[in-house]
Amino acid sequence: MNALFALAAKDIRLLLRNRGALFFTMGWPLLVAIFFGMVFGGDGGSSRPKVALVVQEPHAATERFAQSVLKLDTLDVERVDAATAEQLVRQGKRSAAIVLPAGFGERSARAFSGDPPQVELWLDPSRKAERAMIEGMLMKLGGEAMFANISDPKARQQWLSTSRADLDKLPPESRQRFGDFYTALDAMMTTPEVAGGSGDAAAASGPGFSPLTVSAREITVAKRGPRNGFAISFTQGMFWALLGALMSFVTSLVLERMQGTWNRLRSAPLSTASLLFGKALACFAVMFTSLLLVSAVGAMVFGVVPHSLSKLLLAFIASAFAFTGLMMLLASLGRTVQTASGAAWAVMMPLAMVGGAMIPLFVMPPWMLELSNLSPVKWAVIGIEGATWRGFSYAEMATPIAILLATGALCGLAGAWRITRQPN
Amino acid sequence: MIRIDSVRKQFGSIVALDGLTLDVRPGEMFGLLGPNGAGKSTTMALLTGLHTPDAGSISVLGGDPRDPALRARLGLAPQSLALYENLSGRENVTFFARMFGLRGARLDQRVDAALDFVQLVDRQHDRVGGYSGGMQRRLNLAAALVHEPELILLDEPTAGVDPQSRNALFENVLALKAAGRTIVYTTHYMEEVERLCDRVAIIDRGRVLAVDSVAGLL
Ligand SMILES: Nc1ncnc2c1ncn2[C@@H]1O[C@H](COP(=O)(O)OP(=O)(O)OP(=O)(O)O)[C@@H](O)[C@H]1O
Ligand SMILES: [Mg+2]
Repeated sequence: MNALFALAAKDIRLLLRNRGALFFTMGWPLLVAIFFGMVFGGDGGSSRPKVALVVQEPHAATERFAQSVLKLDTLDVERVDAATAEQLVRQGKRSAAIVLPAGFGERSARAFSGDPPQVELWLDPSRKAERAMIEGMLMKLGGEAMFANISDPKARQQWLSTSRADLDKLPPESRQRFGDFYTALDAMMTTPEVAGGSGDAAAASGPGFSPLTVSAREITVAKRGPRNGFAISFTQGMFWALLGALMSFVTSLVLERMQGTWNRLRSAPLSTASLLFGKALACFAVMFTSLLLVSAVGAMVFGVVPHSLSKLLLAFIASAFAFTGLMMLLASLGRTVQTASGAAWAVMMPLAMVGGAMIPLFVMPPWMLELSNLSPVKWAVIGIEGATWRGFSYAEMATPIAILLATGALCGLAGAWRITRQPN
Repeated sequence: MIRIDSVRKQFGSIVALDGLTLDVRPGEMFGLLGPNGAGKSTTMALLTGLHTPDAGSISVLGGDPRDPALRARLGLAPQSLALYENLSGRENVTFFARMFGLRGARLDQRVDAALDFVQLVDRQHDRVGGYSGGMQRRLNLAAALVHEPELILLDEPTAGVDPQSRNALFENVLALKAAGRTIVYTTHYMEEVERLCDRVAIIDRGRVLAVDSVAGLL
């Protein structure tokens, strides 16, 4: 046991002193994770919320309000029909949909009678921050729309005439007061200084009065894609951490066998199997550590927080085990560094390509997803994603974990068997 | 100590050892003298269990060198330097000592002694990649001795070493002999055999041409 740990410690020490190998197992994965995370759109929370806008009636006032929503530079707004909006919200592609229902224009043309215009907000119940932010902005727009009604002479005349016509609907004691108010308002707005005033009309509305109401409709987001671009890119970074360690240990094992040190080790009282086990131990430790490092940076700096730490550790152990086995098998394929690492690249690249380490699994067409089942890379990606944003239960984690462990054991044994039988 | 009986070893079509027979007695320094490709290193590999003979038998320290427990009593200084260039001299020797089961206080004590023996104490913390060829040779020897083996196999220990360092190495080897170790020493040079060995086997093309005491061969 002492000798096995000494073997592994020696390989880890050599790796730490090899800047290139260290970069490819620790630095490069982080660069990939950060760069592609930014390419994928990065952190959804820090940029403008993406919303859909649905207009459910042709009405001049509604259209004016819709245009003011589209002009907001605090929101990224796309105008679509109701069905599309619902779908976009459900898929998590848009945080919310702002819906201007039938009757919106009619209601906003009335001042203080009847119900205020109503806006519907469709969104996932968990998006509390976005909801508060969008509601605030809609209120402000509502106030501005109302102020526009009274400050533009033509719109004011129209608005006052509908409002005066509505006076009949008010209780008799209020009629007189509102009638006087409209007259006073009309007279005041004709004075130039006031007409040029600011658009901040929320202050102009009296207590207990609201320019519009917002009602929410909950649409639960189907957990298909991750919330945050970094959630995908950090899983990819973890693949590169595994690959970097795999490549440096393939090289280290082949190099060691080419150099005299392997024969010196074989002349020690250790079996070849234990020498290989020491190598595997070091490889596993390096893989596991760089996975921890990448995920720690992801969680602390980029908000990629796993939904379950113990499931993530399970996925890491199984992935590092599988890749250690693959390392052993690939190292047995060549007797020189060039042939072995060439073989390793030739095998790993297609496995990575179909396995979701380059093209995210959730955007793959069905035929490719089917093909991806053959790649151990896919099961590592699924296991890690399952613990990060897919919200897997332990039962759902069982399949990827079992496949990874089986792959590691089979490849590791096959590789060790080949190496012990190769003459030196 | 060592008994090699009619051993044959072939690599593909190349016959490396062709019915080699040798005996090495306890406490003696035995020379293997022969040109390139004679089969000296192949013999060393068989003695440390790295190869299995195709025919014939080998007994080392009364057993089969493919038995790991028996190998703990052997020390091989390979012809091709077997060191980690990115580890320091001390780290190399410590690592190989651990492989031979040393630990704790004895480990440190033996590593100190081995480094002192080959006069590398002042360079022990430098990376081996920065050592001269002669220093690497000496470290290669230290790594073979650190676990105090009964039988020491030195495969061309003076290759690439200047005359001065060679003398230092000879002193080392003679000191080991004086300490009662059994040593097998391979070389291309008659003068080394003359100076160091009790008995010598001249081998060529995997066969023993002559075995005798140095005096007897001259
Ligand atoms: N692993 C191997 N594979 C193929 N051929 C080998 C192998 N090892 C040795 N040989 C061949 O066996 C023969 C004996 O080689 P060996 O290394 O034992 O010679 P040597 O006496 O040590 O030579 P040198 O003085 O050059 O070190 C040579 O022809 C060599 O090519
Ligand atoms: Mg040789």
